[in-house]
Amino acid sequence: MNGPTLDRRHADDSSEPPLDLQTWRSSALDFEREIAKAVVGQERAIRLLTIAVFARGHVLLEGDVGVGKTTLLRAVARALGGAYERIEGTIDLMPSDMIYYTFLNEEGKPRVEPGPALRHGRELSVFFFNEINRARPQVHSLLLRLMAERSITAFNKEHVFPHLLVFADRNRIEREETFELPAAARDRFLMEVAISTPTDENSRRELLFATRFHDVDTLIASLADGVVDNRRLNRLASVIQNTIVVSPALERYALDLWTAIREPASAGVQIANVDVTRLIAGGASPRGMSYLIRAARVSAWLSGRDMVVPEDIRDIFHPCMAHRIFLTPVYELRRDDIVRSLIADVFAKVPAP
Amino acid sequence: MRSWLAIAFLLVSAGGSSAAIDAVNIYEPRKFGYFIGDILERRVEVITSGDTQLFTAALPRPGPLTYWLDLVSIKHTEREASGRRIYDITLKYQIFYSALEAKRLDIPAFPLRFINPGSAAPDARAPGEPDASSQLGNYTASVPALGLVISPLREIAVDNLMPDKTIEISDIMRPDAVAQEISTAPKVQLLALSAAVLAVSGILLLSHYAVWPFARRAKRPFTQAERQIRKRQFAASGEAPYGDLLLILHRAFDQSAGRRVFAADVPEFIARHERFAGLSPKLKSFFESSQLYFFSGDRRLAEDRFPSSELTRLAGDLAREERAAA
Repeated sequence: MNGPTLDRRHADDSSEPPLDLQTWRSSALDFEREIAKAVVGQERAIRLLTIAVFARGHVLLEGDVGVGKTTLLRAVARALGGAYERIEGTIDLMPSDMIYYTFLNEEGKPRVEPGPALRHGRELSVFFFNEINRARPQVHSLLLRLMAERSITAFNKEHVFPHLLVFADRNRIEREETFELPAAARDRFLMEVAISTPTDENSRRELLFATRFHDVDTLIASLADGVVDNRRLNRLASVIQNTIVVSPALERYALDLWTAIREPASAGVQIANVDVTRLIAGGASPRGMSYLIRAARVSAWLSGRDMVVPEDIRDIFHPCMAHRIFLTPVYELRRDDIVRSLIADVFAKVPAP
Repeated sequence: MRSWLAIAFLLVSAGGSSAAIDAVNIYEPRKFGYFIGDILERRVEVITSGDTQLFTAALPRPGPLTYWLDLVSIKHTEREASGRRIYDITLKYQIFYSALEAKRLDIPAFPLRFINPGSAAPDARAPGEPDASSQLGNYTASVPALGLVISPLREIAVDNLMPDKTIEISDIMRPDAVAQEISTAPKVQLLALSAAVLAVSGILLLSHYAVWPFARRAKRPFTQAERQIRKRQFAASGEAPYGDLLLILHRAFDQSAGRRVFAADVPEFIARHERFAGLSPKLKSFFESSQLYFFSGDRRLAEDRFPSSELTRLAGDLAREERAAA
């Protein structure tokens, strides 16, 4: 039915030598440690990004200005290795700007060269979209296909990027000259990770006074390049998904959570000053829930378990699901608080197992 | 007492027109025995036939008529009876004349105006224009003046005019009527009822907030869980399903913490409920085997590691600690 259970535990039907999940786990932890060298005080964000990388999901980072969103993504791209491309979202960026650019060469002849999305061909492993909400909806829709199908059509040819991960960030301070991401585009991100300023004294002190954080380029260059082999991640991801067990009790639990999110009143959820019967307009898509289980399997694997437990789901539920829950317009302005309380109360009320 | 005076105008149209003012009947009140402040009522009944209608907009308006008389109200209704139109007009007057002696005063007469008295509309001629339209068969009617005798309220005793007066004003003036006592019984009853409602609401509120008399004994989820587990085992003669027992204890944890408690929450749970600190290793192995049981599918291993007997003992320990703390 859905997901592997015990009987499919050893269903590794590929001709390649089987991957050793234990070895891979330790290199995943290495990967985390390498990123942590460049980004301090963001252990949770790093863990979530690691989960996304091994679940082969795209990530949207959101946070204040100057908290290290870009640095974090560059560090991840560096540790992941492979070809890396970035583009800055601007209001006049058009989809074609991502695919090709035109110029006059030294002989005065017009030339058309592949743009950032095509330049590296199949090897592109990280496509980093900075300030995504500054780009127009046309660009968002191109991205939609790039994210969902990992392919684009250009120059009468279909280009496929099997190893591609899209990382995007946006700051949540300004709203001027920005375009809200359409729900369909947001739904294609595995996670929306909120980045905040580190709160513990040591991290803050280090960020302010350690000289290695002053120059980001040097900092990123000091990281080991390609801690994991990004070309094998797709296969690893499918092995993880086929190995980590989701028991019937957990399936039941995930389904209950899903119902509770879509119909909070039926689960007895209560939120102060909110009429929960009218709270939810839609969302919590089936794709979102399947992403959630995918991420939960990776989370369990990273914690060294061969089974998914409710804690895994609870741990990643907010980053995976919060942006997929759509509230009725009257509650939309208080979205952050309400979604947080909704998720907290759903986990407090839905019994597991 | 009320005399009525009927003045009948039998007006026959010269031209033989079907329109006519058939009658004006005036029902007058008595003509004497009035004092300052008295209200009297006159009733006028106007009967017309054919096209003729009373022009009701031209009836006098309420308000002062003379310095001593107000028209308090005037009401009129209209009905049809045997092909005739009957207007009932009720006039209410109030007298403000302070009489020093019995005196006759006249309520002024007023005219009645009609639409199509003969065959022409009343606005066909200017008001006050004499008989320019009489050849059109235009008839009129009016309510005549009414003479009233108005009397003083008491004997007039004026010092300088009546030097040999023998009685004082105080002898003439009669005391005010004793005020009627208003019964307070309904108010008292209402007060009593309100007090009763207030008391009941107060009691309901206390029960709603579970304050003193309604404060229930603190719930003891672990005690109840232990009882349930023992009951189950007794009913199944020691072979109750392991999963059910785990669930009973899980629900007790949930109830005790007020939220769902997972294995990762055990340290936090112990930090909050320090009385269970001594049981911490047992709690850990309980949650571990529960994880194994529910989520890995390796149920036998879970049961081997943390058998039912151990589980019953843990429930007993938890219940004991719970009671000790309460």
